[in-house]
Amino acid sequence: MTLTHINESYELRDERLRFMPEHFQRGVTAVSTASELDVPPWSSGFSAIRTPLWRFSSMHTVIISSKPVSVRISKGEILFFAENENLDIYATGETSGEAIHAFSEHLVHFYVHYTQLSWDRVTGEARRLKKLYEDLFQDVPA
Amino acid sequence: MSNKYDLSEVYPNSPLVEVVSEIRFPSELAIECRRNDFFDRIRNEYPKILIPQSGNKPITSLTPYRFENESQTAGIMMAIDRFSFFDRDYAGHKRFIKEFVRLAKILGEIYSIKKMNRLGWRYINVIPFNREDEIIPIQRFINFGFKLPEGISNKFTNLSVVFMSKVQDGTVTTRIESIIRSEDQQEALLMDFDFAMTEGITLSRINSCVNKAHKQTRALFENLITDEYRHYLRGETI
Repeated sequence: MTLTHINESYELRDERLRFMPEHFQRGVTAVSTASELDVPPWSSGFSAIRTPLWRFSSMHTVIISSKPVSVRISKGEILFFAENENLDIYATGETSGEAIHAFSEHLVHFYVHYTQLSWDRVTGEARRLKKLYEDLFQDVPA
Repeated sequence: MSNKYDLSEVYPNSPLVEVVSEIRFPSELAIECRRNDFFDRIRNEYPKILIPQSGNKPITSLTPYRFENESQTAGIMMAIDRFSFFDRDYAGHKRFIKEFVRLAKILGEIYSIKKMNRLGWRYINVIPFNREDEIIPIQRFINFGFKLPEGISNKFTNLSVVFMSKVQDGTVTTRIESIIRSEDQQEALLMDFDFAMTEGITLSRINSCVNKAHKQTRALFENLITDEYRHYLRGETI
């Protein structure tokens, strides 16, 4: 699903919500709490956000995590960044979706790498990462 | 459910973007005539005055004035038939309710508000998400679904639901909708709860009424979210 398709789905939804058969109305006018505040501040202005991810896929592999992976998404001058310091993964893309996709592929790559390494070949930071991947991630059928 | 969370718990990864509490009452013209009397009592904390702008709609006595703090993270909205307090930097219900009750009492001291029609408590949450195989991963975040017949997929690519329900002591309007931010196309789930009670509200009982409204709304939120998302809210993440 491309970004264009996603945007089209929002336009289509809004069009359907606007539609009303002739001689009908949406119903009683309900009283809303502080209706003047209906536009949440989140919708204006760009800021970095954090989002949880549980499922990561690459071409042939899908892995899931038992705890949410908190991914920070931000925008540089040109590219978007998706990063997680604990996993030491930093990915970029031309859209936030592409950055997340790249992040997912990196994570799968490191999962395969660290789980295949034997314990006697890892020390220090690599040992920490291997334990993290082995304890908290597992591959599932694609 | 009550053992899954503590009412006082403030989540470090909270999705709340705004909390609002509001009282409505029969129109009281003195609010418009002596707006300055109220402002004089709160101007140290809420010095910014936001006068309603016309836009396409006519300004009436029902269009609220706003008084906001310097950082514009909290404020008051006041019109002849309503009074609300909002906070965009919510630090828990105790602080919020304490301030709302303090402000409502100032209102009651200045104007003759004998009766109240409605008390509302609103939680507006925005949960950023990323799609999984093109689908909105709604089941990761909330325990919500339709029992759909065979042949109709529950793999939602877009979502907009509003429903109003009777609950203990009032009604709740729930809105769950996928939204997209224009600047960067980041998608999110909007979860907007509006709890309202219309019986037994008086200024003298405002503290217990608003505590009841908060408790109900918090319970709705906690019942709706999944355990795995609650882990994220608590910061139990990788």
